[in-house]
Amino acid sequence: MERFQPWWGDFELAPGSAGRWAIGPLRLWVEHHPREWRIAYRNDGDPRDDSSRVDTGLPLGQADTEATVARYSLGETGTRLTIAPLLADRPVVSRPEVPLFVPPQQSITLYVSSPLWLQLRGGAEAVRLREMPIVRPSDTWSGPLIEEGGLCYHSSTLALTSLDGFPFSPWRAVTPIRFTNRAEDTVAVERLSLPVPYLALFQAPDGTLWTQAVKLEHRADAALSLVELGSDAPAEAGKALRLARARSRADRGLLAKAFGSLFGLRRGDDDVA
Amino acid sequence: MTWLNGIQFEHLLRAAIILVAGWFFAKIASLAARRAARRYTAAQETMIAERVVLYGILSLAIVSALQQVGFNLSVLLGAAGILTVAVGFASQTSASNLISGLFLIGERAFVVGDVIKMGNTVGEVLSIDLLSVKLRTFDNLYVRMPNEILIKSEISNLTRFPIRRLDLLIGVNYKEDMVKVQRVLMQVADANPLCLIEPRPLFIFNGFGESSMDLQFSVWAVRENFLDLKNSIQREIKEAFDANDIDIPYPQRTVHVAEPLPVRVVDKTS
Repeated sequence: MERFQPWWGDFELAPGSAGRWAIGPLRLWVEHHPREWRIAYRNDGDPRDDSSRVDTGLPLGQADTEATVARYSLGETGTRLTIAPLLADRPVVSRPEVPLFVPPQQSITLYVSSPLWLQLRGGAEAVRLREMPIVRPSDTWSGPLIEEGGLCYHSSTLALTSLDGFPFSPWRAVTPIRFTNRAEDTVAVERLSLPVPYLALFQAPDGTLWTQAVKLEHRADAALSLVELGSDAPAEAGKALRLARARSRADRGLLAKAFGSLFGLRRGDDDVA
Repeated sequence: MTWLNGIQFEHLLRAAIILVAGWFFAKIASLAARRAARRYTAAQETMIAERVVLYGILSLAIVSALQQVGFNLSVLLGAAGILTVAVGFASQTSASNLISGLFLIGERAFVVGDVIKMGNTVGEVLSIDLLSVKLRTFDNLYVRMPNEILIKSEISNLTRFPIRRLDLLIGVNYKEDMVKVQRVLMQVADANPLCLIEPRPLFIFNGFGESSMDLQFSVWAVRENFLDLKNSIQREIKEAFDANDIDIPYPQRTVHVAEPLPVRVVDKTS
């Protein structure tokens, strides 16, 4: 049974008609005027809203008066509108509300979810019109204050260790992180910095969204090391369909570096004692 | 009339050809130098490489052209030696600017495109030349700053680091609960997407002022969003304070009178 009705895919909007998408806190209206696509949106809804709804074939003039509007003019007259979900364009950092400790020689799977972007393409040639976050996450900085390149998004996530009662959302993708602590000490997971631009997006048969699983190891002598980053959907997603490729490609060394800082780890469990 | 007969005219023509060819060659060589230098150096060093090549070749062309028309260069250089002493005294400022310029370029305190602040002037660096630095201020004025002054003064480079801190100085009424004020401010910072979550916003209770409890609330932003954050977060703080009944007091003064004032009641009816 489908948990969510997909809000993405190809839609037919004849000239003179409009569509409305309600995806969590985002309200999006797309109107097809002659040789013009008009996109209106506002994303100031409740950030805890996990519903989604699509209405097409509506008359023009549906958009909210307070919505931000942009017009895109195309030379062709195709009626197809494509809406595609994407992962964020920068790493997403989250901090578990309660620190998580992993004792030595334990293997766990952490499920973290990260917010999605959407891309609108119009016409028969699927010309890229616009890309926007469903919710604009807060900026955050990762790394030293004087160097370039540490800008990330911040997102709250529960980082659950089981899928029972996992808060699936139609606008968040779940990444399983399989972590093994091969060191002698207990380590604390204080911070998660997920380099989502290197991950692909999949749709499970029940409509939930996933990225491939990330397999990491922590050894006593080294920092976190990337053991495996598959190219397929995780086993949890079942027979999944790939919706989007990774935004960025990288060789093994760069991936190892990006995922090597995925956890903000701290050795020992002094705080527990 | 010897000027107009064969040999002299031919020399003049030769000198003119050398000058024109030299000018073309200098232009092409300087462009090539710019392209080559651009790959390895910053904008102002590229500019200097281009100019050194351009003026070097041009001066060679001029010297050759002068020789062609019969100028004795050793006499000219001898005169130039005496002239240098005189000019040296007269152009102390230019020489000082020139040397300061070389130090500025070597030191790389700022590069073309950075926004710097010196004294009351804030602007984007357009060029770093041998004698002066040219700025464009945000009200679109062209400002020339002599290198000598820049090397002696304190300069702030506003765009060197990728993130900046915005310090907000806020005063709240003495009746307010400071814990509540801190909580409201943190909620405002968390809700603003331009305000960085890390580094965490800083809350400092600065002390007891004349009319208010003074505090400092410092938030971080990416430098491109600095002004947007400055506008949005102050508006949001005001709205949050209004919504939570937190009062920003006006300056006020309580006057205590040492002795009772003699007050005489005037009965208007009498």
